[in-house]
Amino acid sequence: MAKKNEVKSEKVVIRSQGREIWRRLTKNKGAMIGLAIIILLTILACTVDLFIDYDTQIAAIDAKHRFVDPCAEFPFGTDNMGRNLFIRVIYGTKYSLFIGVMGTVFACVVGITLGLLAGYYGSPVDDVIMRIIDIIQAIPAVMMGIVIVSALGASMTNLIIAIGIAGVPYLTRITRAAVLTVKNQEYIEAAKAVGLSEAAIMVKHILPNCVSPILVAATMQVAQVILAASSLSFLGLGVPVPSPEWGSLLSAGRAYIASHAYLCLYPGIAIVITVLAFNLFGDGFRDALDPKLRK
Amino acid sequence: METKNTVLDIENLSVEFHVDGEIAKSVTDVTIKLHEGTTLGLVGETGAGKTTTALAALNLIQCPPGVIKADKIEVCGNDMLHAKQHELEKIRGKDISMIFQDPMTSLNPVFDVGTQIQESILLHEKLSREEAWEKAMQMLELVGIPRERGHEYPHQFSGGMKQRVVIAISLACTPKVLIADEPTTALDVTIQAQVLEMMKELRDKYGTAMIMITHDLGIVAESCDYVAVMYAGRIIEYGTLDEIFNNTRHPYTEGLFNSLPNIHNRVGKLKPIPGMMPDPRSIPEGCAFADRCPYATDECRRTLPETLKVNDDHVVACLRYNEPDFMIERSRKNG
Repeated sequence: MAKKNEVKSEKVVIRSQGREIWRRLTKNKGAMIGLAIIILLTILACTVDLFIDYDTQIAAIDAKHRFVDPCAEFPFGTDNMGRNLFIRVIYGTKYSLFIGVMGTVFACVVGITLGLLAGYYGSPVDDVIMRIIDIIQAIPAVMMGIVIVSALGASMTNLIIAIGIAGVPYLTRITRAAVLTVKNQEYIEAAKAVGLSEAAIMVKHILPNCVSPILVAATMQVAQVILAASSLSFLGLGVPVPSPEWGSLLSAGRAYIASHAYLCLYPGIAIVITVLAFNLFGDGFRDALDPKLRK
Repeated sequence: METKNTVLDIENLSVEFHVDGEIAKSVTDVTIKLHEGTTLGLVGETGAGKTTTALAALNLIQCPPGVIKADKIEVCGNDMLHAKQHELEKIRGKDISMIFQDPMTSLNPVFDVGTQIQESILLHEKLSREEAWEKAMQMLELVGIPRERGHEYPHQFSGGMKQRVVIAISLACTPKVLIADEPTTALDVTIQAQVLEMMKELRDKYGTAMIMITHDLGIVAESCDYVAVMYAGRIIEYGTLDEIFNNTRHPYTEGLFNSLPNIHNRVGKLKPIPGMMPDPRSIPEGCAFADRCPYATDECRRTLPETLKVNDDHVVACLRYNEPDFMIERSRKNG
């Protein structure tokens, strides 16, 4: 009997929680494709400045090569000022990804904190927080962006803050709803009976159980932020003009869409691929985090 | 009796819930004294206030809407009623711990079971993470689960196994008092017996005092030294196991026994107690059980019964015992 147990114990591979999640994630093809694209875009975003010179390749105007259709020399063609669209789209990764991620991080930090407090403490804390959220939500995101950017000035930081604030209500609501379902679970009461402090219960027991809906929300938020940033760039309130943010590329190409559709096509594809990658990864990550789906 | 340490001392505990302008009296004037190493069975119907009493002992009642009033709630000499939040957090889990009714939901699904036992140990004992993990694994083995399973998640365990894990968590810091809130209700009969047996062993090993909340008189007979019968928020009969079972005095306790199937008389019909427990929002001024009591008089409906002493080990709250020759049927048969 004892020998049998020994054999059994050798077979059991002890894995840490993180490794276990990673193992489940790697089994999900969609998530891995999404992750691969995200990693690629991130590497690209971090290194573009090493191989693309902003002054000569992005901002410089080349009158000889206006509206060249996609060819070997210019894979995505050139725009009305003869600039290489391929290089501009690649360079734009830096802006779009950075704004998308930072805007989401801002919305998450504020939204999760507020949602956790509102959900856990209930009335009156809940009432105060949720009424403020209602007010923020009553203002259209783009209008809020316009107000904040024109008040603080057009810069990337202000753009991130403006779009981030617009995303706070969504994340607060998602977090609060998740906290409400979790906080009355018996294991939360059990955690209190064991003597855990309120802060520890909130961060260690409630939050991890709310992670799936928040992750899905955050993924969608990245897409939302990238789109909102494009809208504001279109209005001239985003990243200053010669910078090839995908949204501004899209709106710059809009004037020539009838004759040179590729000017809109490639930045659009870049946005779609990025958004899709985040969605695929978010879905896979949610499945991997939920031990109940484990086979 | 006085030589033993009192580990849990509750005097005149009342718990009310104020909801929408109405007051629900969940627990009224409950006094419980528990000595080291003894087990008290808290028996009563659903809604009698058993769990509320237990939660009040840990000062875990949500306020508001709950309101706790008591002359004294002491756990190992610590005043639970006036303790600050961080002091309470030190007492809970260390001196007094609780096992919840449903093992399916009392474990956190996102952490493996080892981590959950370890957490409680880290909280109360000055151990490194490795030492705490080692102790958690010892606890797991103590409740009959191989240590290799420490890295598994709650959903990978059966109900009985989960309840063992819950017991391991609550005993991890060897509390002086353990409140078990219907620890076996969610389990099937064979597992019930195993879990009870294990709890008894652990109790004897650590000298833990226990409150066993249950509505199963069989469990009480098997594991308790004292029995308190609760009805509509009050303890209506209290005594040693022997006194309550063989010298039953209160008509309600009699009703509970009559509701049990009798193995010696299989053709006999069960005699359930007619009616329902009064709504905690409108408890009658007299004896709360009067409307369902076959012995009740008009006097019972008007006057709240005092607690009467039957003998040193037995008290009962029933008005009829003021009449010298009153006796309920069960006692007549037994006596």
